[in-house]
Amino acid sequence: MIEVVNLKKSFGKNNVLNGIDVTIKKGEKVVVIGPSGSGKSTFLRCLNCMEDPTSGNIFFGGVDIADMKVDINIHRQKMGMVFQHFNLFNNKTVIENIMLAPIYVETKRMSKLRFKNPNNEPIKTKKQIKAEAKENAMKLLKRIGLEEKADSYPSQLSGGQKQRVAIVRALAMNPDVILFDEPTSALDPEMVGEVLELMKELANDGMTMVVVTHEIGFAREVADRVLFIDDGIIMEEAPPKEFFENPKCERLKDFLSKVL
Amino acid sequence: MGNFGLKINRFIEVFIDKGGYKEVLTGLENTLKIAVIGLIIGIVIGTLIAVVRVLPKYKLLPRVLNGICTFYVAFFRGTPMVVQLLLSYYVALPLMGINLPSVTVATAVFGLNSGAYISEIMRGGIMSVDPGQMEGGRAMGLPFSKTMLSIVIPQAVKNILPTLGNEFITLIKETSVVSFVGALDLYVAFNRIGSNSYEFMVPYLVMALIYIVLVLIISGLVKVMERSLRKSDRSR
Repeated sequence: MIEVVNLKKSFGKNNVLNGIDVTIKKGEKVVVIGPSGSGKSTFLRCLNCMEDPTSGNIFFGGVDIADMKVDINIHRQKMGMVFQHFNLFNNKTVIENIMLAPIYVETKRMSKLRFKNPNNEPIKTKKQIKAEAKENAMKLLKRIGLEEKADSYPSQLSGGQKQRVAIVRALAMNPDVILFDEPTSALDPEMVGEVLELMKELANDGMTMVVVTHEIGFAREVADRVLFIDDGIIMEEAPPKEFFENPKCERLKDFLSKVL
Repeated sequence: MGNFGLKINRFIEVFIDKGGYKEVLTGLENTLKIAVIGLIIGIVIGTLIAVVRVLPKYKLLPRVLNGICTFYVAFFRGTPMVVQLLLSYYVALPLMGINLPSVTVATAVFGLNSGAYISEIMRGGIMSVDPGQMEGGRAMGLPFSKTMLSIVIPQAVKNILPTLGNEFITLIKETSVVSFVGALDLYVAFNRIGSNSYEFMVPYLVMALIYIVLVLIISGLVKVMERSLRKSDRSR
C-alpha cells in the first residue's frame, strides 16, 4: 500500500532522514520507535508529505506522492493523521470538526459530476451532503460514547476525549491508512488507556496503521512489525516478539534497556 | 467667553431654522459611508495581503506576489492619507481621464490605506493561531485556501478584533481630511454652520460630541462581537 524508497529529508544542513526504505502492506500495523531526535516523527510526517521529502519516492496506491507535481490533497484524503497535540479545530464544535472535510470533499465531487457524469450518478444537494455527513459523524461519536458532546467545543473536552474525537475525525474520511504521531504523549496518564483502547479497536477492524509511539505495551500487543529508527535510518525491523526479546543491533539493545 | 446663551441661540437658528441640520446629516452619512465601506475594503485587501505574506515561498508566484504586497504596504504606510487623497483625486484619476465623485474617491483611498495597516494586523493574527490548526486541515486533504478561510482566519479575527475596532475608530476620525478634495463630511458641515452664523464655538463642541458618541457606539459593537466570538473559548 505504501512503499518508501530511499527517503531522505534534511532541514538546511541538518540531515534528519538518511535513506529509509520500507513497505507497508494493507491491513498491517507498523509501530515506529526510537530515541527523541532520531527522525521517527519526521519519517511519519513525510509519509503524507506534511514535510516535503528532500529526495526519494513514496508510492501510495501506485502514485509517487513525493513528486511535487502530484495533487497531494487527493491522497491525503485517504491517509488519516492523528497528532500529538490533537489539532482539533478550535473554532468548530466537535461534530463540525468531524463533518468539515467530508462535506468539503463530497461537495467538490458533486460539482465535478455536474460537468462530467459518465455513470449518471444522482447529484446530491448541499443539504443531503450535510445530512449524510452529520449522520455519519453521529455514528462515529456514538462509537466513542461522546454523542452528547457533539455541540461542545474542543476547549470543553478532556485530553483523552479530544484525541478520540481526532481519531474519529480521521476515520470520517474512510482512509486507507491512519498515521499516528505520538498520539498519547500529550495525555495525562489516566487518559492514555482510553485512546489506546480505541486504537486497538481500529487495529482489530483491520485498519492499516503506522504508529510512532513510546507505548511499548501497545507495540507488543498490536504491532505486526516494529521499526527502530535512529540517526535517520531503520536500524532494526522485526515482529514485536523477536524485536523486544531478541534485539540484534547494539543501539536497540541500549535503547530497550532504558525504556523497558 | 461672553454670552454663551446668545451663541447657542445663533447655533440653533442656523442649525434648525436655516436647515443646517440637513448638511450635518449628509455629512454624517458621508463620514460613516467612507469609514464603514473603507473598513470593509480594508479588511478584504488586508486579509489577501496577509495570506500572501504567510504563504510558503518556494515557488515563484508567491515570491512575486509578496514583493508587490511589500511595496503596497510600504507606499500606503509611508505617505500621509491626505497626500494619497490629493494624489488620487487631483493626479491619478485626471491623468486616466476618470471623473468620480469625491466621496467615492475618498472611500476607495480609505480602503486602500487601511488595507495596508490591516494586512499587518491580520498577519499578526494569523501567526498567533497555532500552526497545528493549519496542519490539522491540510492533513485531512483540505487545500491551503479552504483551511485558511474556514479554520485559521476565523480564529485570527477573534484575536485581532480589539485592534480592528481601533482601526475603525481611527478611520472615523480621520474622515475629517476628506474636505481636502471637497467632500462634505461631518467636519465640513459644522464648519459651514460656523461660517454662516459667524460663531464657531458651539458648532465645534457639538461636532466633538457627535464624534465621541460615534466612537462609543463602535466600541460597544466591538465588545458585543467579541463576546459572541468567544463562545468557543474555555468558560472562565
